[in-house]
Amino acid sequence: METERICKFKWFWPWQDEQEEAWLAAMSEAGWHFGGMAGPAMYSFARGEPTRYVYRLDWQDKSKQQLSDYRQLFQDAGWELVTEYSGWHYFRKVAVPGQTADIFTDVQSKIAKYERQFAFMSMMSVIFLPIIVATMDSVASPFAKVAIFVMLLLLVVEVGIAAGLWLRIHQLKRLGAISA
Amino acid sequence: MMSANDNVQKYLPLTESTYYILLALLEPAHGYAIMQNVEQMSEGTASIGPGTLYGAFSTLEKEGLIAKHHEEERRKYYMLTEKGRKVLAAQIRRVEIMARIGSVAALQLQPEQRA
Repeated sequence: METERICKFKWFWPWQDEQEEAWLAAMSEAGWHFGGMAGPAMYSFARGEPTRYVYRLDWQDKSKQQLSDYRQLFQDAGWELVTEYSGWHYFRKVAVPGQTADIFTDVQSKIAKYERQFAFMSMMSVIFLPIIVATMDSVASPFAKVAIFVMLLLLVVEVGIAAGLWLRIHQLKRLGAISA
Repeated sequence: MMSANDNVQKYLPLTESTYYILLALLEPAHGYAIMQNVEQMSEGTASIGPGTLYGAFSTLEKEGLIAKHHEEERRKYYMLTEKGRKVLAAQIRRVEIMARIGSVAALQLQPEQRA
């Protein structure tokens, strides 16, 4: 019998990864196990035995080869890499009652994860700006106008994401001032 | 110019994770062995997740407190450097003071002592 599959569209901002983890765990408890991304914000699930999984997300912008020791380390520690999608690494592990399972065990490393994304988003915005200006200078064809509009929209989203990440970083830093 | 002592002082105090990671690297060890060792050494009070450890490796290596020892089947083995040993020794002195004063305070915190 073929495995039943569904695809769900759900949007999470990069600083809402804990909500995303909770949602994936709830899906697994209902018997729908996350298998990979079918596209941006498109989650693919396969039918299976309802299982209590802990899902954890990390974000890395290094290449697969650079991350071979990283993947080995997570595997050794009992984390299954479900999939990797545009820098996001989706890990899971069967939940053990009374035990907490985390890939980040202190505030500093949680902050560092958001800072990596913040740096990436800031860099993207900085790269975008001169491209937009250069396009503005070129002939004002209808195509250029549409292109400028789309790029401006993307720039706003990028700056918005960077701002959201910045807020999350500062929320964690307040916590980091009293505990590790 | 920075003196050798300042070079050690700027890392202090270490976070609990860094402290345990450096302790576990007195001998060459790879990631998962460190995680298990920390769990055991700390009597279950501290645990280090793979995400935290991976980040710590790159920071500590960049700062020259640990260095790659060898690699075995995608597992990197690290060990303390001379600088790392100095930082760890200085941290241990701080921890000893904290523990000493803490054990005195613990007596006062016992409920029967307060009557």
